[in-house]
Amino acid sequence: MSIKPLIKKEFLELVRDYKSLAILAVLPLVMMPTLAVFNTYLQTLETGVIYIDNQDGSEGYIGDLKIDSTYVVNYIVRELKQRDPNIVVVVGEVPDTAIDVILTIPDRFSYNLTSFSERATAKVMRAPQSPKADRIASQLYSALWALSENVSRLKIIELGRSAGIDIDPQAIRDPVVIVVTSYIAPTGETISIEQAIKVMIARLLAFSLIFVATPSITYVVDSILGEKERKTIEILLTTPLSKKGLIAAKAFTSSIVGLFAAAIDVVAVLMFLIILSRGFELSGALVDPVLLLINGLVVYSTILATLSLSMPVIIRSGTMRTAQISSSVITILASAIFFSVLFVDILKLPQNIQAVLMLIPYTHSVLSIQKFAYGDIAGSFIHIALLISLSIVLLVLSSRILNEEKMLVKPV
Amino acid sequence: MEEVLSLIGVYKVYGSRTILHDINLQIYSGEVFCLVGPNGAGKTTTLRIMATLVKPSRGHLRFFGKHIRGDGDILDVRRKITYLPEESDTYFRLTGYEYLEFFAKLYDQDNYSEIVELGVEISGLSKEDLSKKTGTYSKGMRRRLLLARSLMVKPKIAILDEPTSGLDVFSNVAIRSRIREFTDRYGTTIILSSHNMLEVMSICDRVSLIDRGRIIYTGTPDEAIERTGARDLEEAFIKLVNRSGDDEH
Repeated sequence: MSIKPLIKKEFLELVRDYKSLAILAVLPLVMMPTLAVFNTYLQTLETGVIYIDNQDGSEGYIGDLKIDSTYVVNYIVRELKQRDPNIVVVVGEVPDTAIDVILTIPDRFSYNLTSFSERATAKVMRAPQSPKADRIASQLYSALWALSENVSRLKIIELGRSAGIDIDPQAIRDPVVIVVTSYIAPTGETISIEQAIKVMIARLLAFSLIFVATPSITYVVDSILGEKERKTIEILLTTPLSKKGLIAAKAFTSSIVGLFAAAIDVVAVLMFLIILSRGFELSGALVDPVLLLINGLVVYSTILATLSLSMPVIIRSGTMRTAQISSSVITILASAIFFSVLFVDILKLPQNIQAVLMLIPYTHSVLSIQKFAYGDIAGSFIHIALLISLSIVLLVLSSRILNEEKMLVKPV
Repeated sequence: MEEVLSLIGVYKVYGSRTILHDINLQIYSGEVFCLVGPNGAGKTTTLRIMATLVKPSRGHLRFFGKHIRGDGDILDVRRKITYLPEESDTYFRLTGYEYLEFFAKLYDQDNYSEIVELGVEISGLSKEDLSKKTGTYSKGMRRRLLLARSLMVKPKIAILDEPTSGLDVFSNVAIRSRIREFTDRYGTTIILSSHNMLEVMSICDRVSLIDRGRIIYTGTPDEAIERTGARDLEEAFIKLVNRSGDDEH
């Protein structure tokens, strides 16, 4: 018995469910860039206030250059304004508006700053748990560091002049120059910078798999238990369609839905990254067609694995609520793995932990992309093959445990 | 007449509740067989067992002289039977025509258009109606489509659970007449459950009365009236049910 009629029926129902499709497509495309805009552009529009409490009445010289609190404050204000024009710097009177960061320049600051035996201390207080204060404080640290670097450079030049030595301040401040000429894979082999970028992109792509699991599970739950709720399953179960055929058709259609959702999500993630990085040089490397092909294969096999993991749970659940709760456990498991790849390199974990992680299908999704990025194409395909094999085994198992009676008779 | 379906000593138990007790029924080729009984008597469970959806806890099921054992036997039976559950509906996003075509293809990929043609005829729905999504149909129209789906593949046995339940008198008469016409034309065996005694009298060749999971009468509707001395089938069944209750006590 061919499963084509059921697949056709499922697609007809799917493409005519305009509202669900629209939500599936539009929501990530709108949500992710919006999130990025909220995270970046709105932050840049935010005004932060730094109050400089200038208690310094001292002065000092480096060569002929006089440094006092006016020099210090002007230097810091100029640096801050260059970095972020939206920062409001108040010097003198305490402002009426909310203050995000307070910089105290204590007495003798300028004297110590110009001294060859003392260090000058600037005190910073900031609002706790505030992203805005974090950002402004970070800009202030940069401005202070610039002041420090500049004074240090002037002191070195002055010392050199006094000693009659031709000095390059950089040679004294940073005698070691670090240049990254190439990268290495976990195997120790040298990889190109392009490959290194690929590794970073692979990490992001692996993370974006987090969006793959949910839509396909939602669809397969509805596809099977929704038929029960809409009172169509009983007729379908008495047709000559085999259990294997039923499971295969439902899984295939749901995987296509998942693939569609995943494609939309990947586009949304890319938009998110582009907006977030505002010109970060990703685009050239992202268009690597082979990486995108591998990613496509991984996405599809991940969706299949998700469906096949949730299928036995769904067909034994009886009710939509139970199925959704059980399926959400699978989604959480997937999310945990995909999220962790942002911070953890699975291939560098101890062997025993790796062995445990290998039992989780999603580990293979991540490793497939990462291994490809490192140039291990065979390894990448082995992980995809493992995912697909596991999916097939689980789908066959689902068809074996599919029990019409348990689906139809309400649990007592 | 050839026996097409038998239930032999069938019991169905859910937890501590026995839903069916020692059900023995023989259904013959070309007859319209009715299963009647009060709510909760076990009609739907019996029909689901006949439709191979529910397995008996004890006892056997025999289709066309063959005992049903594994999944292979069940699939073989499902090619020859159709089942219309009482609580069933159409796929709302498919048109009437697409709905019939989907099921026709599940039974016969090559000759599905002929099957659909018959389905269109049985449904009595206009071409215009059939080109609309079934979600726009009235309950009566959906029920006619569901019946057409059950009969269009010319099954050896069509099992219909309360096919006219909840329908107005016009739809009721239309469906009833189509069932009778179809049986006469194609010799399909019809097994149906019903609450409507007028329906039973008008289309059923034989009837079984089930009460509290037990078959308490099997015979023709006329025999039931005669045996109980009742004025009509409704009264006859009430008497049979009461008598069965007295016997139990």
